[in-house]
Amino acid sequence: MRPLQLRLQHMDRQALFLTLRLAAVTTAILLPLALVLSAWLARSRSWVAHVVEAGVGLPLVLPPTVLGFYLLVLMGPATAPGRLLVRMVGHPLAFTFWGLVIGSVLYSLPFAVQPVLAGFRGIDTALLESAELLGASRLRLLMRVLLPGARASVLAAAVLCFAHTVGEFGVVLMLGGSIPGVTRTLSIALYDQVMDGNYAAANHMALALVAISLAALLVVYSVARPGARGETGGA
Amino acid sequence: MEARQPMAPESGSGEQATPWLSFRIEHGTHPHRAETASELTLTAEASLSGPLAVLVGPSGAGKTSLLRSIAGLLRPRRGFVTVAGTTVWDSEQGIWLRPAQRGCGLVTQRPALFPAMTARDNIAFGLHALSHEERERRVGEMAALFRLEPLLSRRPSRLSGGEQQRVAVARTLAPYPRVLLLDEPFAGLNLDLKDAVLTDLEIWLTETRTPVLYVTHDVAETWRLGTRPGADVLRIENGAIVSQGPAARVLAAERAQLLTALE
Repeated sequence: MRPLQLRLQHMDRQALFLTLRLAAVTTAILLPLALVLSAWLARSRSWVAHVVEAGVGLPLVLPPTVLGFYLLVLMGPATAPGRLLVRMVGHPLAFTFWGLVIGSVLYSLPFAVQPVLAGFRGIDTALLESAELLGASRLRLLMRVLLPGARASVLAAAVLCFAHTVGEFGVVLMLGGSIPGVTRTLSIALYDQVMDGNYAAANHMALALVAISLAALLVVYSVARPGARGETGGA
Repeated sequence: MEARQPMAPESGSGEQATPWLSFRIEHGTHPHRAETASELTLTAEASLSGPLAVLVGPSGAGKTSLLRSIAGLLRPRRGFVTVAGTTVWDSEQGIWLRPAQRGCGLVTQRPALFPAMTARDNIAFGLHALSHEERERRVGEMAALFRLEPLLSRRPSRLSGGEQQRVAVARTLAPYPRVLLLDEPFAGLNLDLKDAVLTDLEIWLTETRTPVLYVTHDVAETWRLGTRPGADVLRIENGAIVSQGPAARVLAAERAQLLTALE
């Protein structure tokens, strides 16, 4: 018990739970959004879809600080959308938990959309045409044909979203700073510990992040493995 | 089996009856649509009145594109399609109905059953707008017609190729389409299975009055179906309907060839 107790003493449990809460809320918001967006992107041939798809992928190539910076500006009282948000919520969203949620949703968007989109695009077009001929609405197509056909991809998207949010740093730093219990996630707490020269605590937090990420990747690779159950093409 | 609308004539003295399907389809490479990027050019025109029409032609003649254009899965460049008196597409008038609004049932060579659903749910898929009782009644009706009762709770992966194709036909017929389009539906089956499903289809043709456009490249199949009372045979070559009429006339060349070979 002694080594475990030692580790827990060094662990910023508040930061750990905040991180897990942020990742869970982000995943819960992102997944339905990714399903609807991917269902549209998978079928649309319009140029608007190409632009949206490129926009969704932006967080993959942009430094997180760029996204964090623009969100900080947008959420602040200096811009019209920021002022509208302040009026709606009653206070600025920057440096709050929900501000972080918005940042995380945008930052992890490609990690949710791309696996789901690949799953949907892999579904036999004959199934989609059958559904179309039989008068399926978009919702029915999504729930009865696309979703069951891309179960493994949807699961992979959820796990990747969760893990990616857990490991988020730049966006959180720009948008939330390091307010304990509000915006101080595990990666920020780790950074703070290193800055304070407290390497033992930093090490335990880093280990926790490695463990969560590894577990997530194990889930993703086990469902994506050839022969794994989940994806169903056509009969 | 209930009589279904629209009424197709009992026997095909095609010229006098109202056509259940007429079309003029001009189709070629279109700059804006990826789906039409094939080299094939269609300039097909026909009017069908008999209860059964068999469209025969070699691979690549445009049979599938023609059927997909009628069903609304492909948007040709110019022309019109009228199904049971309703214009479902007219390029000049700007009319375009979505596939589900056209009243066309389409069965292709691949059954394309929804893999996560049972045979029952597959058959009921197009009946979501109906009441629960009516849905059950239709599923029961189709299951009886295609001898699918013992298989209703099975998923497609646990059905044989022939069973899957019977479920696919039942699924297409359950919403009572106004016309049925069959695109080489039994081409993937072995001869025995094909014979069994064709027999089912012939029974169904006798019992129901929904007109059928049956597409095949197989001359023997064309002869078998095309010699039914009232059946019309259409020959398609290089995207154009080159002849239409009774099997004996349209298939005269093949028939003569076969007779010569037998002598």
